[in-house]
Amino acid sequence: MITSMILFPLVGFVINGLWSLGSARSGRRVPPSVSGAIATLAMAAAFVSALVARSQLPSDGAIEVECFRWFTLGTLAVDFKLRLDALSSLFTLVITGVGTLIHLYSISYMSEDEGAGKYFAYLNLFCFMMLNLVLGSTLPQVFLGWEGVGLASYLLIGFWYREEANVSAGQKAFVMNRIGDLGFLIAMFIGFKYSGSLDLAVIEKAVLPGAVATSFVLLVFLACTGKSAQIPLFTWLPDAMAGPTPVSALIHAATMVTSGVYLLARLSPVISQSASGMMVIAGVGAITALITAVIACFQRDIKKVLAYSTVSQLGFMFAACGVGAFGAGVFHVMTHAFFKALLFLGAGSVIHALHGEQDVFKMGGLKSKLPVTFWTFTAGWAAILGLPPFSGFFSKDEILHQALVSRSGSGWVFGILLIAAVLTAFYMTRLYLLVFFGSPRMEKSKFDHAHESPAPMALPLVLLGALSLAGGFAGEPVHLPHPEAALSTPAWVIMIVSVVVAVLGATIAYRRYAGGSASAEPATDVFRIDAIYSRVFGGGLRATASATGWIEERVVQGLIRMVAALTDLSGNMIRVLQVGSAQAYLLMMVIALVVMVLYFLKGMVQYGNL
Amino acid sequence: MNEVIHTLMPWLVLAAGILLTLLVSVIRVESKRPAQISALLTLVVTGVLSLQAISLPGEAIFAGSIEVSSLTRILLALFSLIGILFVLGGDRYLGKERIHLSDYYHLLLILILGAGIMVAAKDLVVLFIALEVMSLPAYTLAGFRRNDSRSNEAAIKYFVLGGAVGAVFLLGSAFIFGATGSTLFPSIHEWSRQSTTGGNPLFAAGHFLVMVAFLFKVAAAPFHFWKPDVYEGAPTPVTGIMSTLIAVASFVTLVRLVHLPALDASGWETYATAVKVTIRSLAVISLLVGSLVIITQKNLKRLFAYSSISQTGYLMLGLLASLHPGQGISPVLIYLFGYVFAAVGIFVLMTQSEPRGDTGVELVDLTGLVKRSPFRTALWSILLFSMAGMPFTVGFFTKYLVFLSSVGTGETPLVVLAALCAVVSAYAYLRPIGLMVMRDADPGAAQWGGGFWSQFVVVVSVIAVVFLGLMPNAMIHYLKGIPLIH
Repeated sequence: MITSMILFPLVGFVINGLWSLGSARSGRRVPPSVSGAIATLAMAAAFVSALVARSQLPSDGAIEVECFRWFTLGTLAVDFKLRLDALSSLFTLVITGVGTLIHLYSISYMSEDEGAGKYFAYLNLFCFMMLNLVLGSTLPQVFLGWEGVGLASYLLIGFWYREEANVSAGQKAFVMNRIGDLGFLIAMFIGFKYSGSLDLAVIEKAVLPGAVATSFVLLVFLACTGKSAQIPLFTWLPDAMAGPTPVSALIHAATMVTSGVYLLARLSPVISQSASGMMVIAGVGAITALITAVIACFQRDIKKVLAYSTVSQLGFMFAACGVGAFGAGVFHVMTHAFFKALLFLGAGSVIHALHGEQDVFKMGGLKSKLPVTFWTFTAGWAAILGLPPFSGFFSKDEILHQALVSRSGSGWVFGILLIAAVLTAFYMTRLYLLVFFGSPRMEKSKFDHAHESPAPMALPLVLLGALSLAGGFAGEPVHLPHPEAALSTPAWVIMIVSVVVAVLGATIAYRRYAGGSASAEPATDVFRIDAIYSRVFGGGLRATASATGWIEERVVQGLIRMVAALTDLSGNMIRVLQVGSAQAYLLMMVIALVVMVLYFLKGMVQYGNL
Repeated sequence: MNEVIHTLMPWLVLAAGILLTLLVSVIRVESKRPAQISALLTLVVTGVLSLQAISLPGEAIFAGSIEVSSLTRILLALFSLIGILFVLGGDRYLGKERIHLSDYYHLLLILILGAGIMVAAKDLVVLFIALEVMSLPAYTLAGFRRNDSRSNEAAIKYFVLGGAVGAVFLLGSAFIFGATGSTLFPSIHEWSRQSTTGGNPLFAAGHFLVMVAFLFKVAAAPFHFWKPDVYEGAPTPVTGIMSTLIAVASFVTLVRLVHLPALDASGWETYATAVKVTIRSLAVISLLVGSLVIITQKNLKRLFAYSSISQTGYLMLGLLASLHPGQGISPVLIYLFGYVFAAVGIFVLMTQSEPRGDTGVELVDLTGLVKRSPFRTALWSILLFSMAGMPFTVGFFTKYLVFLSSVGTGETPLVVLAALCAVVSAYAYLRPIGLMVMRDADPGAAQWGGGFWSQFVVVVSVIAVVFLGLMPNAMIHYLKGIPLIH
């Protein structure tokens, strides 16, 4: 079952990929409905397999399926093995379940697009890689998925590549993720060095010496900041919204960006060994949650609001992991997948209805025009605010509670998250009011032509709406060890506090935006982080590279060319064939040789061998 | 005598094939087909014979100056395979460039014979002869585009520098002979075990000189300056052969030469440290030069020249690990094999531009390729992914194994640097994919068109890259535990 779960999306990818390659050659288009149906069926089949696999899972055990021996080197043997336990099972259900709905939604959404075949191939590839990531039983396998989802994401962000901005968004995502990958690679080698194995089950149990544990945790976390868009590597995610909206919902909200949380939860026994590492994770998570929530309050683009909101919610999850409440973090991954996918798809439905309009200040009054979208969006809104009994309430409340009472938690993590929660309520209510209430602020013809999305788009909305409403009652889906409590603040106090802050934030937004008389606000790079980054890092890397290139080509070669020209007096021949530089190369070689011999003789003299 | 002939059969077949190829090209001057077919046949037979003998025990012949072992047999088979792939894949290129001459084929065979003897040589003099047998045809082939000044320039540079390297090697050999009284590897090794003076200066100077000669051949920075120029000027299939066949033969020989004295013998600690520091520094310089300068390259051949410089850097990580007791060189061999499969595909793809074979080597020629030629784009992408070290391609594995073996010997800082370089240089490999998939064709972009055999070779190499990425054990099984020396 586990194998078939992973193979279905692969089959879908191969069929759609080959077909669209073939059709590009012959010039005939792949009908979007057919390739969409193939991709959706592949995902549905994977979902069924995931359900069956879940039902076969022993209550606190794991199922392992050995596929083949991947490689052996000396005593090290690494198998290609799939491992399903409670944690990975939850992720597979979310990936295939939400994935199926989003594939279904995409059939209508992409029906006008000439590249639909390619789109569905990429989407299936993404799901295949994501399943590899969560089912991989060794670090190289997880890394395979980790890189694979990055690749698919990169391809899908730049899907509409004729717009320059999309291409550069794809590249930005790529570069930031590579920085994170470096952390992953090095952490993997450290893990191998100290545990002697690449198997997750072994590394999980490894006991690392203090400093090594901290550097391991920080390197893993660096990888997570790249993939899950945390400070300082978060700026790629809002730009990634250049891709089609269902992609934003699936990859950049529900699944890929949460793989950092997965990795931390998976390695939680090792992560917990470093108190200072945990503190960094909690701090970075909380601050990310706050800063990006502030930025979200100033955005005009509906998708950008949701994008910053995603980064902010991921910050909540990391803060939870940082205080040791891995279970709460994973719980929030699940509920967030429901409501954020819903909000994105709802936004997609709005954008679709308004023929591509994304500015919330040019919307308004859509409540009656798009009833299904409106009601489901309401469920998503209530869930992200954390109103009971919606799903977000349970998970967010758990995170806030643990942030306060856990031994590794603290008042200030709790405080920052609380402020972030107020802001979350504020910007989401602002968005909600601006889009659906008040008087229409777009051209009249656009408003009149706005119509509810067709059934294949509405059905996923309804299902996700139901999940956003009821998903929280499932409770913490994975039982990871709870952190020790240092305080005994009862849970109901926190519950009341968290509801109060949500209502507070919503009220402020209501007072400001309820009239629909929204004055245009500046929508900028609020903290100028993007501008600073592109100057410092982008410029820096390019400058280093071109400087090295320049030194290589001009200075070094120029210098030796000059020396060579001086030494060689027989001029003419040289210019014709440029043998001058060959002699220069020789000279360089001799210099290097002399340096080496001198170094070497020095060593010999020093040690008395000469 | 019979036994010697039996052992040397693949090499003898190859030598006979050279004569046959020469003969048929003289008999029918106007057509190059007979020479081509004769070369192909020779290579196939050589490859099959060496593969067939692969599990036979190693044998030292000619008073120990040549040792035929599983390693040399598998390498000869690999060289024959590379030769076959480039004969098939370069066919159209040579036609388009109007340099399709029969001489191309026997020169290629001589080159392969030289490389095949070089990796079997256990004697400095035999090694020198093999080196020259390999290099002389390479110089000629580099200048094969006679009417192109860059090609001529490349040939002359390659020749002059190569000649100097030969001299350096000979001088080093003379020093070693003076110090040890022998040119045979096993005797030199034996001498080093017994000499407790650990690095007699004469020997040390000689050893350094012979190593430098091969550091030049593998273009470890700062001995790399010739490479971009020669790569750019030489005909593309010849560049491909340099980048694969000559690189493998040279690196394997370099490993042999580094291991020439017993560095773990008592009294040799200082010397061993000096060797390690040298290799470590050259690895660092090669990695930095290769992966930083590659970002600025716009010409594909130069790009892959810098790529091969950084590959040398990664390989030197493996070489360094092999100097630690108990470590083999299998990561190095696996790396070389993996690299060869991706590089063959890439260089053959590069020859597929129209109307001439050497027009499509600028990055701009790749723009919008997915619209013009989707299948070729897919092939390009997979090969470039392998170069960038993406998982599920062989390129990921080979790097990964080298890094692992290096971490195991305590070279963690070096591995961190190498991983950083891999991350940085990935940009250079993925940018062409971006240009192919996410850009409309530039008006000046070259046309592309392969021809069956050329495309066939690329597909074979892509299949190998993916298959070995998923099932690297198929390759590791053959290469692990192969003793390099003794």
